[in-house]
Amino acid sequence: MGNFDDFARHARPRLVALAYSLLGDRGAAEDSAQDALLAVHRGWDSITEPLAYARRTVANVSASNIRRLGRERRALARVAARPEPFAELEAPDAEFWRAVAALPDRQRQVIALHYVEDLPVADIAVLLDIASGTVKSTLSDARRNLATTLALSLDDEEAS
Amino acid sequence: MNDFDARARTAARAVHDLVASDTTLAVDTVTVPPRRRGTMRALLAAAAVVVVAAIVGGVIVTNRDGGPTAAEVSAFCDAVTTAMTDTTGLSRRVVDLAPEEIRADAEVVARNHTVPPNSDAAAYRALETSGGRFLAWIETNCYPAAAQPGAAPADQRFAPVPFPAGTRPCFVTNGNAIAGGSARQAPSHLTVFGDPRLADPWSGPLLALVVGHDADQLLTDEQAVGVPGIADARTGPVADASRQPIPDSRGIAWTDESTGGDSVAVLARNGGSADLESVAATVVRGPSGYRLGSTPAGTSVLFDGDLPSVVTSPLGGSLDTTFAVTAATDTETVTPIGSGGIWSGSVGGQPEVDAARLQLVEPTIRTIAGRSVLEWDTSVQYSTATGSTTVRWAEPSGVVLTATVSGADAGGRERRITDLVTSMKQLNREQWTDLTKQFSYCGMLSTLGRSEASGGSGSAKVEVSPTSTTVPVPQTATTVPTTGP
Repeated sequence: MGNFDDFARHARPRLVALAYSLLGDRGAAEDSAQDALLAVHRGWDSITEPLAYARRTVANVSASNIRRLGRERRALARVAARPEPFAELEAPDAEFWRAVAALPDRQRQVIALHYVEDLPVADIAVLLDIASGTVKSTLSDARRNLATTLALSLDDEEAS
Repeated sequence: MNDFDARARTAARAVHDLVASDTTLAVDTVTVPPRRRGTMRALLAAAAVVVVAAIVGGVIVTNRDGGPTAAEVSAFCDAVTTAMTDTTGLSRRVVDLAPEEIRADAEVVARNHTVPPNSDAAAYRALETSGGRFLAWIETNCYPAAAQPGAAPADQRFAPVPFPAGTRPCFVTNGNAIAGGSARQAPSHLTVFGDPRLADPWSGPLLALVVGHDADQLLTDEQAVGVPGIADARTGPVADASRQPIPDSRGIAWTDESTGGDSVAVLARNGGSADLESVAATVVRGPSGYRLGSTPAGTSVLFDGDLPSVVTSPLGGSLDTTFAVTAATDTETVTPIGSGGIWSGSVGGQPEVDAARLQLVEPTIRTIAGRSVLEWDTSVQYSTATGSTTVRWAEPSGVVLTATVSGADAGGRERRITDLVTSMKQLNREQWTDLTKQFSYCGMLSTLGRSEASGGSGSAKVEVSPTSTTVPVPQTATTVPTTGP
């Protein structure tokens, strides 16, 4: 097993990116990545796939937190000048991730893992502890929903 | 590659580019433990939401000698209410209607409210300063005591008399934390079973049915689990008030898609159930809500009511908060709790105090000034590495008070808590109104808008633990404990 510091240094940007795509809030994304890194740190001696473990933590925590963050964001934006979700991105990219944010939890997770983390279906299945077929159908549903929302063309061929 | 994939890949690259070029962060040091940060954020957010909600609540108009007329105040408060319940922030109309004494502040808030917290420090500081005065004026003039729907009667508010020496009130809010319609959540329900033969049934095996709280609010380290007849069930240790796993506890949570997505969970601790999957499988939804198939053998219902406090915030949740006061010491420039403390009231009574024990690790119960006080460490660490302590008790009038104090060593904190509880008095309306007029700002929005841990400008810092090491990463530093939990 390598050094945790090296792992954290390498993994943190990727985890923040994954969390940001799910949360749309940079501070919350950093929190989420931090939580994941500390969870890995706790089990460093026993976790065999730390990056997968951290990704799973980020995906699960970020997905479940988004509704609460939505409420907080709506409230705080009026007083504390918190930006809208994905405000740091250019408009087309922000529009894409806001559309992702409107998807059901599992579809959001799969889209983020597939496109941000560039993971194939099989790896996503292992990471989320669901069947590959479920990942494929979820990804297909998510892409179709997003394509409709964003008025984009979509081939029938599924990503793999 | 089709249009969709091209767009998705571009959007994904944009996220990576954003993180990679993240040189704009005002955070020099991130020193946050897992889950504790969530508690900290929840605490801060709860206090801030109290203020926000005060703005979206009902309006009672006051008239003051030498100030704006009642009609002017009414028009302004109406405009504020409208502005705060849409997504556009302050409208020009609010500024135009603002009474002369706060118009300049309204101008600043309107001009700066879209400034991202980390992009323009000067503009954000101006927003903090003017925002504090602006909110204080609204709190005092638009929403006097007991003005809001769901708020406790005006004589059901408490504060120490005298106010603790060397401290000042930062937020004094008048009513239900989330009184506004759009922010209100569906009510949650809790049923707890325990062994009535024990001298203290809450210290023995417990089994609970919770409806209305997502799994992430109840469990930690969730994993999928197979439960007959329940799709998408998740399991994990029960999370305590600081999002730490409770030893010898386990929960199963799921979403009941057949009823439009109700969140349902069964929780067990202290050996409360050997086969939680079987218990979960018996849960049915009847005309009066969800229930277990049968009362677990040897148990009786210890609590059955709307969920009062099984949430992550040491404040005990914000939905049922009827007032809140945040105090800071005179020497702290940015602190919502610090040494001064924060306390809130909610409608309830002793059963609600007891029910909090479901999600606490080894709380203690001690008698202070004749009150039976539930006490626990919250792990919220602010400007100190010594953590915080929260206490909850029921006043004879039925109001449940929750107070959190930090900023001292354990012995000092205990004394401060004793002093706080002992000196806590039920205020009459005049006393409470006087307290609301002392509303100050204490940099709360600065803390919220940036990060709990912020470099420069005298911001507060959240510490992890006395034993920590810093792992430098680009642009920031991540502090992690050197020892496991």
